[in-house]
Amino acid sequence: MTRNILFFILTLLCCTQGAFAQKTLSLSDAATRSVLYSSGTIQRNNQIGGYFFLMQNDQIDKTTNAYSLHVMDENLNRVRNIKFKATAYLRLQEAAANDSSMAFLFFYPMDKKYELRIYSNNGELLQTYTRAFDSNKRRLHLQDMSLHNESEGNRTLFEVGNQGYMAVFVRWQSRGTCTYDINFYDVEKHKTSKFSPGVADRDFLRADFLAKTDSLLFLEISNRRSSRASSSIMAFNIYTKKKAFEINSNKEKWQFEPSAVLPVPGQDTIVMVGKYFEKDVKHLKSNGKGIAIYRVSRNTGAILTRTYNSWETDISRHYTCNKKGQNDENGYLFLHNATLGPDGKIFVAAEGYHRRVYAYGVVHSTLFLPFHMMPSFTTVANADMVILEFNKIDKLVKAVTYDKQTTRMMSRMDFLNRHMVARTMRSVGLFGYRFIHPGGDASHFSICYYNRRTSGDEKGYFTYLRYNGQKFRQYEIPIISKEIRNTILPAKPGFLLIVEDNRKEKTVEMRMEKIS
Amino acid sequence: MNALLRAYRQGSRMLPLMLLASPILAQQSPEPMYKPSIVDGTRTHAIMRKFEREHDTLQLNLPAEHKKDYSEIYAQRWRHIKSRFQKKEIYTLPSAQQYLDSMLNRIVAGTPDLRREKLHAFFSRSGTPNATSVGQGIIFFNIGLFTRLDNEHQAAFILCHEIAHAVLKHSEKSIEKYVKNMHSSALQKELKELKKVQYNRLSKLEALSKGLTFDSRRHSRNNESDADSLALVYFRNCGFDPAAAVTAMQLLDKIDEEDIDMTKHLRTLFDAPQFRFQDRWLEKDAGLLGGHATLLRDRKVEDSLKTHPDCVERANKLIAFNLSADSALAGKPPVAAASIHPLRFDSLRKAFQFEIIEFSFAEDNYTESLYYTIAMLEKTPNDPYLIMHVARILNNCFYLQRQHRLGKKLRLPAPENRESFNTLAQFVQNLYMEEYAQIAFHYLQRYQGQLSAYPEFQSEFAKSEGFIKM
Repeated sequence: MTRNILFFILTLLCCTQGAFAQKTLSLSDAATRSVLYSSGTIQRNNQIGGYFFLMQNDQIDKTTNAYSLHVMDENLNRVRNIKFKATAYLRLQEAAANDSSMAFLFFYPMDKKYELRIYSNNGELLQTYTRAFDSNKRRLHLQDMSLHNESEGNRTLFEVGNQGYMAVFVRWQSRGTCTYDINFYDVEKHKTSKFSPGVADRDFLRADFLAKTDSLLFLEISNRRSSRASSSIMAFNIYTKKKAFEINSNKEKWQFEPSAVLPVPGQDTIVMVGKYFEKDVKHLKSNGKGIAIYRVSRNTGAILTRTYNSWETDISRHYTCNKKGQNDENGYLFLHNATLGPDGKIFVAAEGYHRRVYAYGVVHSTLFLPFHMMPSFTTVANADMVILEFNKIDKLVKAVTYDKQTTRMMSRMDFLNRHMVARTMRSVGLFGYRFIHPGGDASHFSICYYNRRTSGDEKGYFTYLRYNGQKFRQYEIPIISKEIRNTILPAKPGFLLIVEDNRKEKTVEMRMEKIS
Repeated sequence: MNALLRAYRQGSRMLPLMLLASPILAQQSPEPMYKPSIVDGTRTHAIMRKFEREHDTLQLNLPAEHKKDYSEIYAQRWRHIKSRFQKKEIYTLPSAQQYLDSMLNRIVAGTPDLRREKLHAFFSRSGTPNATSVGQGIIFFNIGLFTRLDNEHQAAFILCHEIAHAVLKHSEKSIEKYVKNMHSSALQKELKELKKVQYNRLSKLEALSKGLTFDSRRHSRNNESDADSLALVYFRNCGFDPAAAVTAMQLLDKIDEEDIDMTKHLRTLFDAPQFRFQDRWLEKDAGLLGGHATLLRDRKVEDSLKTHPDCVERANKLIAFNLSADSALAGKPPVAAASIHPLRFDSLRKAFQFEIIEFSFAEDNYTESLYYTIAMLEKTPNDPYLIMHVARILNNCFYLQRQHRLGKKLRLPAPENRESFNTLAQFVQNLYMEEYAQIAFHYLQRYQGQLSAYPEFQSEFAKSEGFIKM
């Protein structure tokens, strides 16, 4: 006890002395704190070519900050450090690069503008382009930006070979309508040009990125204004800056909703995979009749072959489901993406989803109805992963279900159509599926998803189905274990980027892990 | 996972059986396989404890003024020294330590003043061509530098140079200079004013720190010149060949230029009749800035930031020192020519080449280990250890990729690496998982008849065979 009191007095004395002593400053005491504003990938040739980290380092005046933009190559080597001054509120949204330059798309919510900055490979600013928007549309732009899933890559900014860049912008108009336009930035000639849809078409047009080849950009153009929403696939030639062709469902026997557009290497063919629907059906309210595969000429846009795999006959032979594609255990299938395999095979990554009445939710919401802002009677859930394999004549030959922990969530979407729910789940990231990652060549790829399964100390797994040209093999990386928390992101072909937070050793390690 | 473990253990389990049979098999083997030295943990720990006690005493005798700052920096220096002992970097083989001690004793004997100094030299297993005086009279002589030297006279000069650093107390003086600088009223005033500034603080701080860094690096370069001139005095006192000091410096100047044709080596090593070499294995990434980015350099700033003067400049100064020393000594009896143990020097140099490979492997740097192995295979293509080690790395790559731990062992191409290293790093990451085992299997198969007597060889062969079947 005496020792304790003595210790207390000594501590007090030391503290008092410390308080009166003049503190010696070190360089770090005078330094400002750097803040990470944005980070993401730099896309090049539809692949991850590098990474950016935007740091705020200093304050120049009340409204201006000094920033440094750290550019890393695909192997996480810091290759450039670009310094610039700009307004205090900004976000670096997307980045792309070609052989000679790098382009960064900034979003300034307070200044109501987008800004494209193009830098040379040496880090010199070559050109800057701005695009303003109305102040009352700021919320819509912010909302639109927040739905961007980074693991899917860019959806706004793309490189146009070594000529320059292009950006697909949403243009919000009056009374909640919107349209889009495509802006081209020619770095060599210092020129810009724009493609806008015809005035008659402007209603509630959304342009969603589907794919990009060396010369074409594919967008799904959907009109969401009418109760019977329609969509078409537009191909733009990125060099002539004109529409190359359009595939319109109205001219087809069935309506077609694309989930993936895949250029076939070494051929003038494009493969399109998606669900098909009856002509008169509202396809936001239906699971369609099955899965269609179109093979389209890259030059003319002519559909060379149309292959339909119906739930009722073709698919149910390999995967138990009714004529609506429903399965007791898995619910409906949502088609996430597709990839080409060797020998003309096509693999489609699909995931089950269902919405069920939730007894507790019914009771709770009914009892407390007057106090609820958003009563909820149902839960939505993602279920197993299903990999569908199509042969070279585009017929389903195999469907393999990979067990996955069903993740249930209060839906708050009771009054939405169940297929609309799936789209919402996808846009807010409630599905387990993450991405299809290419290997070194076309015969190797991995389908990656989260599985919330727990086992001992391990909670949740990042699972990948690795295809080695012959068969799939399943691998799992624990996300949370006793000491480690992993964040897993896509990286260059054949690699994942693992950010390992070791809570015991208090270290964070970022490393590339090979999966090919 | 079970199958993977089975295949891995199957190979490892065969090893003791084969080792038992090795006396019989050894009669057929052309030469014994290199056995990596075992680090004497007890001895390393004992040495470390001794230095720790010395450090504790040092901490008690620090200057009273700014004691806390001194104490913090000295503690940091000790943590660095301790970490090198803890990660088993010290080469403890008695014959090697005896050799280094005899070289040190010879230098001390030549200059009686040195007897007052507490000096301890150790071989570090690092492959980096360097030697360092880390404080407390401790000198680490990297075996990566030792293997590049032509003779023991050059090694003695390197040791003299590090002794000079220790004697001139450069580490302690740098610490003192730093602490005094940080407490100088001028700097404190600037920092206090800077702290009050709200805007443009970083740019002002950068200008301030740049000035300090330039000053410290200039000081460091001066230290090197001082150490060189004092080292030459020690060196000449012992009767070593004065020209070796100059040739050592000239050798250091060219040390980064040494390179190997990695593409050619990889194509030769891994092209088997049943498993042909594929061009895809050497393809560069099509990432940012053309795959392998280059760094932009500001030569003027780099020159100001160098810690060491150019080796050519140092060599020229040494020639001048030698000339003036020769003229001063004219007419006096020459010092007897010195030599420690030339044969031991050669045998150590040979053994160290293998040790570098082992240490990189133990340090979880597979790419570097493979790099040194391939470089050595160029000179001794039929060495059983090197052949076995190539397969050992590839088998481990297969095993660890399946456990998602390979990323911790491989190095990726980087702009600061030499081209041949980047070629190898790219090659290792371009291979598919199955190809690691296939390449290892077909590579070993070529030597099956020649090296089947070696148990380690058979163990790796069995592993790769098991992995292929998975």
